[in-house]
Amino acid sequence: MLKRTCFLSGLVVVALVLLACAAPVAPPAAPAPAQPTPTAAVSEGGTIIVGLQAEPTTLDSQQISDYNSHRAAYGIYDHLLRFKDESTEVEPGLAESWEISSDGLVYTLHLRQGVKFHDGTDFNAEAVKFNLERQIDPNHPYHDTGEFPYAEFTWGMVKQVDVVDDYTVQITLKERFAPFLNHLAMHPAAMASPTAIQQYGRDFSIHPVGTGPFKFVSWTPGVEVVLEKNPDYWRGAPKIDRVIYRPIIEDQARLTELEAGGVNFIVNIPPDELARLKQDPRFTVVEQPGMHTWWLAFNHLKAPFNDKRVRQAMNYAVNKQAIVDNILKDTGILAINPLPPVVWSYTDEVTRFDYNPEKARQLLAEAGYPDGFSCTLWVPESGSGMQQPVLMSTAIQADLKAVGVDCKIEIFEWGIYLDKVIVPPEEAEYDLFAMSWIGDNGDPDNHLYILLSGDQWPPHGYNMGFYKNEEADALMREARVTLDRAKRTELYTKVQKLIVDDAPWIIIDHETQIVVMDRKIKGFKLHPTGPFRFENVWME
Amino acid sequence: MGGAVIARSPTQEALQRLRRDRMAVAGAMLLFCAALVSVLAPVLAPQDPTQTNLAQRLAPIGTPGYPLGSDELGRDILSRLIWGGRVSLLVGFGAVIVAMGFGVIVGLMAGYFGGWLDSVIMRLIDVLMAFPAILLAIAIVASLGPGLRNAMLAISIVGIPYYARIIRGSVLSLRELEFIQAARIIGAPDLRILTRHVLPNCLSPLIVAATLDVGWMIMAAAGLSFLGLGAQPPTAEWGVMLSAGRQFIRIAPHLSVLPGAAILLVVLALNFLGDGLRDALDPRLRQ
Repeated sequence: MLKRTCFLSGLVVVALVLLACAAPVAPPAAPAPAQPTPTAAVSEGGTIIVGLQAEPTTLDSQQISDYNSHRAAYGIYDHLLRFKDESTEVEPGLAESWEISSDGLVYTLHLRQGVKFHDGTDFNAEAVKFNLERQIDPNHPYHDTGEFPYAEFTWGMVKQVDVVDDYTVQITLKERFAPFLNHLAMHPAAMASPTAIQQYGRDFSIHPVGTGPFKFVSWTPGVEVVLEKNPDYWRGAPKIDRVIYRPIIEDQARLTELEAGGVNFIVNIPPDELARLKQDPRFTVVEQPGMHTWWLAFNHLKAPFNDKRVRQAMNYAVNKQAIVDNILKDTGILAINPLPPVVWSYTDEVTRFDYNPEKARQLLAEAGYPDGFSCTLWVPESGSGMQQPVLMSTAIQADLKAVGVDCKIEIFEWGIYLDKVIVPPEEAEYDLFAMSWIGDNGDPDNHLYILLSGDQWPPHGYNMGFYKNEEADALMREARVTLDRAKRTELYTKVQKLIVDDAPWIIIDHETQIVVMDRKIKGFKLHPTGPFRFENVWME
Repeated sequence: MGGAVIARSPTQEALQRLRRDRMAVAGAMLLFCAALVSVLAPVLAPQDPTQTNLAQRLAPIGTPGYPLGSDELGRDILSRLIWGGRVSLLVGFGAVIVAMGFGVIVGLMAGYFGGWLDSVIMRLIDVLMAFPAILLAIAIVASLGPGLRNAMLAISIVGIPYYARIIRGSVLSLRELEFIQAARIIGAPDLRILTRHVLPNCLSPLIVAATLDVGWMIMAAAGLSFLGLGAQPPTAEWGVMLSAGRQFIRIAPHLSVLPGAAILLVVLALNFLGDGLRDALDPRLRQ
């Protein structure tokens, strides 16, 4: 399960991929002194300085639970499988090929030969076993070299890991688990050098060693993380020399730094500035639909939110389209479903709650609240994936007030907020709260099951509003152990229809991933899981 | 014709001196206007300060229907400034009254009775003063929970030592004076001596201190609101408006400049008036 941070980070994570996507693009064979290729000026050298939202917490990929750490650490590692460019379909990574036994329980991975970690250690089947067991076996001698917040979510279904020969590994599961291949491309499947872990112990998180396209150089806390290119990278050396990640927390400060030239690549653009930046010839704006959802959750254990009519009424009362059009502008799209449209099995044939205050009043009256009621609305002051929480919530508050529902907003710091909303049912104090999620691995299970299944009430998962629909729960359980994608799609389509009609949330939008970078940076593609792939990027 | 000697009371004299101080008069007039606007907010404000209009966000100054533009949710800035002034002035004066009330009581007791009571009270006051004021206020709000009332309470608590020390200092010198000794000798009870003789003679430094302090309180409350600890959405309050507007400083600077200017003007006016009062009431300036 994603740890709290995940919410934000959740997104992140998955990065699975090794950075290196680049394999298919033939890299220039020699570090030839500026020998431009005939078609495009693909030159060597240059430094990309990324303005991140927050300081990374660790550079050990297996310990990551937040977006910013994931982004900073991503280039250092390769993963067993990797997500294709701009997609959450998997392709070979450090495992060149794989077989799944007919009962769906045994995954045999054939590893790439001749790959070395940055410290010279060979990558082989023993290294894979070491990396996985370090996370899941409490008796492993190096288990105490870190905390592994994603281990249960990613590897909870793994029974054992066996070395068949130097370059073949078998992973046996306790039960069939449909999204398992995707998990092999997530950040806990990043391969770290066993020698380095043995050498540094807990300090591995500040001395990371992987097989990826970039090598770790230094980390000055609060200032920057510096990576340099790995000239011996097995997919071919990256074209840029260095990547530097700098935490710049304030959105406006980050933007100012970009315009001043202190950084040349930034995330989280203030929506009202986007149009101006798109016109600015100095910059390129890169966008991609995100695996993200922003919503207000009801506490289903409390009246009046246990009444479907009240939840539907409040959905009708909020002018979501206006929020998306005017506050988020081009940084998000209207959401009608907890599942983002970029995730397979998405359907738009669900109950629609378009803005209709008349209908809202009528439903409230039917539910016995003709004069509305009062409640509290919890909001974090900021947070990864939360976009503009206070602004959006204040707009929602005004809409709800118009139909008689008087919400008092209470604002919390993000860390405190997560501690207060991710609690078991008996400790839940809230009425209504704002939350967001960014998918880790592109599987619908990672949105629907973990966020809305009755099996996933905290502390087991992240169904923090305690929504429960027996019929949907049964379908989701079945989909987890069904391997056939067509069958799963059918199941998830039914699930979406059931859930949306119950109106467990007021769903507002799916955020678009946006970065703004120096026009000289070329060849960059965003990935739906969040991290940046710089191995094929060059600077003019 | 014999020149009639008109006896003027010290208060009249002070008022006359104050009237000659042009800065103080300007300050007083500005404050009077601000107070008037705040009182008449329901009548003067053209719109409901919480009425959002997402289609008209960040409208510039002079937009029809929005004389001072609209904010990040399309709310009328003029209306929010008017209503926000009401909140800011109320919090400023309210916090001063609370702080002064407690400060005066403990200061009087410490100064008049002396001894162990003085030691205990003043050590507690020292503890309060040991923390930087705004930091202590943040800590108090953090433990009470965010909100306008708690923010006001926090800055009141932080303000107590200021008054307690002023009063105690005055009382210490007053209690040795003959008229106090005389009152004591004829058997007047302590409470009567304190309220009828001691307190009225401490009033001038108190009035000066309070006037200057209202400005500080307004700024502190706005500061707490700016940090998200004071007024909560959708309440219009100058500190909140400033904080929310900061995000749009490049494209719509009026969102933060206007509430900032409002805070500046009111605090400046209070300082002018406070300085004027000090000059007018300071006995050393008396001829």
